[in-house]
Amino acid sequence: MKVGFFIGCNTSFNRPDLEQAVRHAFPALGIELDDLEGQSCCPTWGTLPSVDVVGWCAVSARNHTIAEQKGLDIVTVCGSCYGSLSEAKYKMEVDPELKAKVNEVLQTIGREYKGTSNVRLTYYYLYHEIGPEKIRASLKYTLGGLKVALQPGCHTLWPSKVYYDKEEDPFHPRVLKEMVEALGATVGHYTRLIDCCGMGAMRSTDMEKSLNLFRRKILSIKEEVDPDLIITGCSSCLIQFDTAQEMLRREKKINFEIPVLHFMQALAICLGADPEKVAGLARTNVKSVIGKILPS
Amino acid sequence: MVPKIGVYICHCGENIAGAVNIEEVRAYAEKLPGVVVARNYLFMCSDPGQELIRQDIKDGLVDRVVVAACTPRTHEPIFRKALESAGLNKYLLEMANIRDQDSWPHWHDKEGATAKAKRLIASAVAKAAYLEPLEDRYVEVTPASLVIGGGVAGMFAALDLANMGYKVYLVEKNPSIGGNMAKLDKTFPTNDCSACILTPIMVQVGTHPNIELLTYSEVESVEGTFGNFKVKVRKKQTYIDWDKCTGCGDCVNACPAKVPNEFNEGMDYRKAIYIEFPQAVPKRAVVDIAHCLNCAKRTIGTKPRVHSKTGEPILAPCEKACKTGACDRSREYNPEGEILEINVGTIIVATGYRVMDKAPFKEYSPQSPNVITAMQLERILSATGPTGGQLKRPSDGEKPQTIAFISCVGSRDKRFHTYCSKVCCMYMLKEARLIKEKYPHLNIYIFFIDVRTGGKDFEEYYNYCRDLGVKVLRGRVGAVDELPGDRLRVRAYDVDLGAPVELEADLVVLATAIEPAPGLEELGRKLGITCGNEGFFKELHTKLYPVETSVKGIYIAGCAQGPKDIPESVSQARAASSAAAVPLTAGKVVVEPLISEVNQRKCTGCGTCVQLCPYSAINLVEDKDRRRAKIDEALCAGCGACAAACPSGVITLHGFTNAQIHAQIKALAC
Repeated sequence: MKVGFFIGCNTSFNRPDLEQAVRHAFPALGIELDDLEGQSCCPTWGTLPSVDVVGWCAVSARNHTIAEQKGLDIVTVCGSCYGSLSEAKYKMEVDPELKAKVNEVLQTIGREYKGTSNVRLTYYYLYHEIGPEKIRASLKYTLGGLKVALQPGCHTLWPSKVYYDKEEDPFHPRVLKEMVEALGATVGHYTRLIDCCGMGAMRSTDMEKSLNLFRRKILSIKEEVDPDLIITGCSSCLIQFDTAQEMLRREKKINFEIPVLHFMQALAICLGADPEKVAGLARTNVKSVIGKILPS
Repeated sequence: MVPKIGVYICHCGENIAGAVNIEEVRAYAEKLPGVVVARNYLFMCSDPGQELIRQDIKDGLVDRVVVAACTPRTHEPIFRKALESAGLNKYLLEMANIRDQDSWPHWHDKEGATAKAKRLIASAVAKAAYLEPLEDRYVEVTPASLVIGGGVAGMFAALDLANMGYKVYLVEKNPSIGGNMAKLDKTFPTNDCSACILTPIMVQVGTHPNIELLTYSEVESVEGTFGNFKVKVRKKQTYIDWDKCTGCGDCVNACPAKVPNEFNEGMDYRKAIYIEFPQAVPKRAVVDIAHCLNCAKRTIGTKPRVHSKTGEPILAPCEKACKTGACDRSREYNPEGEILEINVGTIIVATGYRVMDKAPFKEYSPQSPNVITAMQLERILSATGPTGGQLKRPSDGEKPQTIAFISCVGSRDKRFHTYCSKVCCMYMLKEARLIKEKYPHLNIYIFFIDVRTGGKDFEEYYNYCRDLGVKVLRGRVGAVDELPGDRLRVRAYDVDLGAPVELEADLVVLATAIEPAPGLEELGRKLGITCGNEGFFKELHTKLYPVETSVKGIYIAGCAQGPKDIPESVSQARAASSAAAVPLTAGKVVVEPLISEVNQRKCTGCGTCVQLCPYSAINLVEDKDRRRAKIDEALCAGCGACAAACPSGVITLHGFTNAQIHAQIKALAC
């Protein structure tokens, strides 16, 4: 089994430890990663998608063609890449005129977009291609005894019609929960599960509003679950959860800290990766949790 | 004799003249072969416009008329009358539709529209040269009417016709008449109790000597035409002898089976043998065979087993309870029911609506028992409902302290229905008001996109509710979350504040959309009438013929045509009954002579046409030593399938002869 790894800018520049987690976990589960040499920005929300639909789809389609030429599907850890690549593909599928315009642009660099590669988010890909049972059986360590709160992420759920892997009911997502339970953790429910974390365009333009959203969410997590660990499905959510807690503490708007990992980091650690390598850039105190995962 | 054709071009105000250069087209038309005069006028259908045509005919100037204007669907009868009143046969008229088929779609291409108008007119002129005078036929009308649907609209339509002295068959699919209105508690804007105003009408309908009530029945097929429809009605199987049943309810009490109660919107249970609701008309029991437990192994149609000791037959509890012998499980098992054939002159369709279920609205936590539809709240508020009129939330029977209403759930939403369901704003205000008047301390919030309270006394009603303290917020609700303790969090965007708002409630009420009744499209196919995009029956003309349909003799009323409130439904029902009474009163109706005719002398009797005719109007008859096709004039609808297919070319469709059509096409092709 082989799949194209779309790393995404945020992961490359902000959390290369997360990239390392993917590079450990996928081969450990028997999946070969292709680097999709020449990949660019997806392009993300708030850039081309906001101002130029053809431009957005052309950049996206160029990324798609790299995987298409190799006959591979694309996986990513980032909700923004996942959303942007999926939505551009959907747009070109339902609007042949747009697809034709995009291919006119691509012709100038000798490429043609066909739409043959699917875009997958890492944990959905593993859920459908490997399955929670097999993953459970491959683990060296587990999250046994840990209480976990989840953060699936808006762009991993909506708009649901554009995604290849679909939740039965995106208002009550189940896949990330099943996957984290496969790692052995107890997952607690909180009522603001599908709320926005405040990352993305909002954080770029209005930090105060972004932090207000995040505070409402993290308080709901603290009050309703009080977990040992938060696990996200999206690298953008990971960055927000990992840094915004510190900002709120500085402003004395919260007085606690909950460690945060991306699902792929938790999986890699359970598969025996070196925690320093796959989660070493975390600003929250993940060491305390890792101490509970690994045998002392 | 060379025909003298007059061409009359209508400006339709700016509707046509705004895109078509009328003078250029007129000058062109004047030079067409056979045309003796071409005139134009601002509104050709107005009296001065028609007078132009009449005068030219009276002066002997023209003997064929081409009107280039709007659609023949609405205006052909008007111009035919003009010809008739000037002494010319009314079928010597041809219309060119240069509005719907030209100026409207080509509004931004004036040159193209002008060129197309010329071709359409040339084509009509070419056909006009071959027009022949035809004579109308008359057929006797069956002096009876069929009303489909026994809700408030259907009942009023039936009563009006019955009071005029006509026989009326009222077909209702449920065991009782009453429709959705029977489920309502009180009705806006006067807050009179629905049952108090509806049940006396139900009794009138049930006892009227001219009304034959066919409940628990559905229309199976419709044949025939205007004035003489032959309708097959299936009386569904009740497995109860309704002639003997007194509606006492003893069998219902004895039945052990539990089935979600449709009348209470699934909030409690009825039995497998049931009477639809306590005020049902007719008050008769029905066996819901799909849920019947066949107690004592008494499957319908079997002989009872005999008790080994007493020798008595072993009966099911329902049979044992029945004192009149109406419930007898030895009767024949016949799931098909009974087919009745009825003959009527006119038909009124008043099949009503259904409200959407909450399930598709996943963002509003439909899995919570405390998220309910407004129709469910209506049953909770009703004294005949599952709580006996006590305000209780479904999860634990506690009285809710905070109630949130959400409007436009499924309406004005391109995911579901783009239309406005029209009654929701008012019924939410009504429900809020009823609760607030009874329990002034409760917090009631209504989330609107817009408050639409157009209608007599409606705006005053809205203001009264605001004065009572019902809180009205403008903005879409994005989510309803389930919280511990059976509470709900409503999250919305308040467009007046320009900020997101949240509140916690004990009960959330969804104003789900009004939808076409299930099976409406299929019924439409049986009747030959069409549904619009949104799925409701389409009227012939929104403004001028609001209760007529494209099929003569079939009329529509109430929510079958689109969402409406009770006053509007009743007004429309009474309009439909007047329209349906006109042909019954006249006793005969005109049948257009635009039907097919076989030249029997030349017919080879191949039978091709017999197979094709969708109206079964053609038969092969023995004529001397050969078989020849013969068309039944009363059945022919003038579709032309036979004329087009006849290999010998000996079938003529009057009004659309081969010569006429060929000339028309040839002119178009130039």
